[in-house]
Amino acid sequence: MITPSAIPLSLYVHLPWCTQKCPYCDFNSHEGFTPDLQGPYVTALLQDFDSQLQGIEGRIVESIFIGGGTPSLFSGEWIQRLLSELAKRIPFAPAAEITLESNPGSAERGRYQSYVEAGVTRLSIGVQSFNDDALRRLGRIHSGDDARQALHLASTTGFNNWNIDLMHGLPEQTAETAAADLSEALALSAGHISWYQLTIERNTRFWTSQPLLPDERTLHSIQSTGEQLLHHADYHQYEVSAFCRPGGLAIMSDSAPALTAKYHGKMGRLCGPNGLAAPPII
Amino acid sequence: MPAPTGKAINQQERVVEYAMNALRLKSGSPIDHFTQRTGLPLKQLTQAAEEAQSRGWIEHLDSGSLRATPLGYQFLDSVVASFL
Repeated sequence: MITPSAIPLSLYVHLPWCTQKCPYCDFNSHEGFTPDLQGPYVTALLQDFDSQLQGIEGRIVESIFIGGGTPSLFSGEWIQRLLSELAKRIPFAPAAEITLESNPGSAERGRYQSYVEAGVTRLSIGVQSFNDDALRRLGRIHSGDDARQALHLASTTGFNNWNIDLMHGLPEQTAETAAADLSEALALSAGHISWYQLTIERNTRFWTSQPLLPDERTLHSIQSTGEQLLHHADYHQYEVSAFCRPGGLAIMSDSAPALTAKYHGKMGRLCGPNGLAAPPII
Repeated sequence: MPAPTGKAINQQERVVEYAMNALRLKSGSPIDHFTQRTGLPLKQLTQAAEEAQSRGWIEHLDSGSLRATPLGYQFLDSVVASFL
């Protein structure tokens, strides 16, 4: 028999707009964001949530991940509205971790401050690379300096913690440039790093343009060198592409199943491209 | 407790969901959570788990956990697919 009360509950909220769709991205994300979409979309999310409340009665939310898309296109006011409406519907644990994904192109102090005030405790920043050539080949709309600036803001704005999303196996990447990217991320002392290999998915522009990726030998070298760099910098791998420092993940001391639920909240969206599970989207 | 909207996942999907969520964690998962999380008897997991263990993909089944070996962790998609 399933015992729902024993299973930690995490909530993934999807905000599906980006300024520009990246050529490798097969997530549910779309161009054409305008601020007037925020209100109707939050209303629709809450209606969707209400329709499923019956299935989670009596449970407490331990973590929320607001992913995308680029959730940092939403204003602090609308993130606050979303979170306060959710809190009316289901109790949050006192130390609930609430993460919002941000892309470096949209980073500015006032906006980050408004997310802190809305109750966001953790920022996840889509850096992907610090190398301007690599970022251009990836179709990212930000530079390495934009990413450095965003990370500086995240560390000085009052978030409890922040995550760096970093990719490897990028078009034309060498073992040396991959190690340089990772070393720069490690020097920034983020509590958590998601370090994952680029894969070419169907329904993306890269699927048709087929950029030149590193060969298997280089990929293996990038992977083994990277794991060593992370290990020496005191980052513990707890999941395929997830690494945290001591204290970088609030419930590291908890049991593995709690961590599994945590994983859903953090990175449920990553399940989709594997074709193994649909992300838990409200 | 099925959700009022959406599609309930079937028994086979529940086995694979559990295997994926357990095995992608480095530390794996206590095997007694299988029934708690899926509502299915443990025997629906054990046959595939024993087969994966005999291939060197998972380890320490007898200590009550489902955890990938270093080899299995390198080929996790295939290991999870073996629970299908």
